[in-house]
Amino acid sequence: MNSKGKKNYWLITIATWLLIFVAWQIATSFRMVPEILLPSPEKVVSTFVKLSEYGYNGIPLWQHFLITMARLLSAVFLAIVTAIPLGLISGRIKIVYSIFDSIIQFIRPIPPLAYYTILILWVGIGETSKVVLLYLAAFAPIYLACISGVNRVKDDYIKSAESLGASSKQVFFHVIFPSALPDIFTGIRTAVGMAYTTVVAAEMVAATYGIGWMIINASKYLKSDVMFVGIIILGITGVVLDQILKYIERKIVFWSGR
Amino acid sequence: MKKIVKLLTLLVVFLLLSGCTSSTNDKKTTEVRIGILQVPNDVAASRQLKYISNYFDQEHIKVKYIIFDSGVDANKALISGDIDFATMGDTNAVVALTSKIDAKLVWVNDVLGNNEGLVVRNGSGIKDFDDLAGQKIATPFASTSHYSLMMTLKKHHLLNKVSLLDMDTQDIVAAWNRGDISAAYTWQPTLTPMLKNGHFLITSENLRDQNRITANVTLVRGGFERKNPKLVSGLLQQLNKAHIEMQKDPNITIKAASKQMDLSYSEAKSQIGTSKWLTSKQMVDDKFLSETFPEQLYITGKFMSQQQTIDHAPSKKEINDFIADKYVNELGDD
Repeated sequence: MNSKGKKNYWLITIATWLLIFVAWQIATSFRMVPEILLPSPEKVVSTFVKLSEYGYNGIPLWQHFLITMARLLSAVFLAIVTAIPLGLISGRIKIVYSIFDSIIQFIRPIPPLAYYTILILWVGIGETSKVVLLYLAAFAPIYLACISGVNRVKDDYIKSAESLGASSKQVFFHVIFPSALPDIFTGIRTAVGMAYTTVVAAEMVAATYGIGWMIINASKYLKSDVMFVGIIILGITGVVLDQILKYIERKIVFWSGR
Repeated sequence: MKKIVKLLTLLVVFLLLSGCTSSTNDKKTTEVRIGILQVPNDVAASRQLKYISNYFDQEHIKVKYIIFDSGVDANKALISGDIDFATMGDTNAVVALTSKIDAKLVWVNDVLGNNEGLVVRNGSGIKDFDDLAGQKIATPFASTSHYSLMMTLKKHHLLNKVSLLDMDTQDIVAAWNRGDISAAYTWQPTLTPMLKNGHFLITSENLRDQNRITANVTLVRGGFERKNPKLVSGLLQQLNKAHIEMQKDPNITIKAASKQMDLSYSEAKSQIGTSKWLTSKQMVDDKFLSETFPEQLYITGKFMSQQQTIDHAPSKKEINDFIADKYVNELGDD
C-alpha cells in the first residue's frame, strides 16, 4: 500500500496470489473438491466469457455491472452532498451538533440488513429502497470525518484570518473547508467501502438485475461458477474504486501529508 | 518474511485439502435429519400421527426436523451434509440433479393442484393473460411456481413483456399488501390472504390437466441412502400410510396435518386443496414414478435449460439414475 514499499514486497504479494491460484488449480484438477463447492479456474474463466457474450438471465453482464455501480454511486453522491454540509456545520455549531450527532451515532453501528426490511415496507421494493440503504451506509463515515476535520483546524488559522478582517463566511470557505478536505476524502473513501459492502444485501430483495442479484440468483440454482465470477468482479471493482479515489485525493488535496 | 509467507501458504493448502477429505465415518447412524416445508403435507400428517417417531424409536434413532422456506436452501444443506432427507419442489430437484449433488429422488409427496397458482388483484384490470403485459409479477425463483409461471407466460407469448420479481413467500404477501405488485405465482399458505382481494388466473391444477405436472418430492442424501437403505424404505412406508389414509378417509389425515401446522381444519383443507397424494401402489400401477414423472422432469429440465437457469438439460438416463424407484416398488402393494 505504501508507495515507498520496496520491490521485494510487491513480489511477495504476487507470489501469494500465484500460490492461491496454484492451490485452487491443484485442488480442482485432482478433483479433491466437488465442482459445486469449488469450480475450476478454467470453468470460472469460461463462464465469465459466456456471461460477457450472452449475459445472465437475458441481461448483458455489463448492464448488471452498471446498474450496481449506478446504485452505489448515486447513493454515495447523495451522501456526499448531504453529509459534508451537515458535518461541517455540526463541527462548527454546537446546537446543530447536539441535534444530529446522537441520531447518527445511533444509526451508524446498526447492520444495514437489520433495517432493510423496514425500509422496504416504507419505500417499496423499487430502486429507492436500495439507494436509501446504501445512502445510510455511506452517510455516517463522511459526516464523522467532516466533524473531526473541522475540529482539527488550528485555532491560530481561524484567529489570524479573523484578525485580518475575514467574515465568518470567508473563514468557513477559505480556512475551515480546505483544512478539513483531507479528512473529508478519507471519509468518502470509507463511505464508498461501507456502501460497497452493503451492495449485495441491497440487491437481495426483489431486484431483477445487478451483480449482487446475479450472485444471489446463481446461488438459488447452485451455479457456483457464476457466483465466483460475480464475487471476483466485485473484488476487483472494489480495489479499482479505491485506487481511483486515492488518485483523485492526491490530485485535489495535493498538500496533504506534506 | 519469506518464512511467514511459506507458512501461510502451507496453511492455506492444508486447509483446502483437509476441507475436501469428507469425514466418512463408519459409525452407526443414531440420528436422522429431515428437511421439511412449512405446509400441511404427508410429512406433517405422519409426524402428528406418530408414524415417523414410532418407526425410528423402534430403530433407536432420533429424528430432527429442520424447516426450509423452499428447496433452494434445502439443496445447500444436502450438499453440506446437514440433512439426510429434504422435501422440495421438483424444480429444485432438477437443480440438484444437474448440479450433480449426491442425492436421489425417492418419493413424490404430492402432485400440485390448486395449492399453487397465479393470483391477480381484484380491480387491477387484469382479466386475461394478455393484460399481464407490462405488469410486475412476483414469484420465488427456482420454485415450481416460478416454472409454472414461466410455462404460462411462454404459452401466451409474454416472456419478455413482464417484469419478474424474485421474492420469498412472506415478502410476496408484504409487497401485495403494499400494492407494489398486482400479480404473483406462489403457494399456500401465502395464497389465502391474497385471495381475499384477488383471484386465480390459473392454478397448477389447470396446468396438471394440460399435462404439465409439478410436484413436491423427497430427496435423500446419497451417503445416507447407500448406508441405510432400510431406513429409507422405513420412512417412505410411514409416509405411504398417510397417503393411503388420505384416500380412504381424508378427515383423519387433514386433521393431523392441521394440528401439526397449527392450522384450523378448514385452513389445512384449503391449503391442501386439490393436490394429489398418490399411494405407492398407484405410483407403481400407473407407472407414475417410472414413466410419467421422469417424462415431466425431462420437460422441466429442458425448459429450465432453455431459460438458462440450469447449465444443461438432464438426459433421460440422468433422470432415471436420479430417481431411485426401487423403494416405492418394494412398497408396491402395501
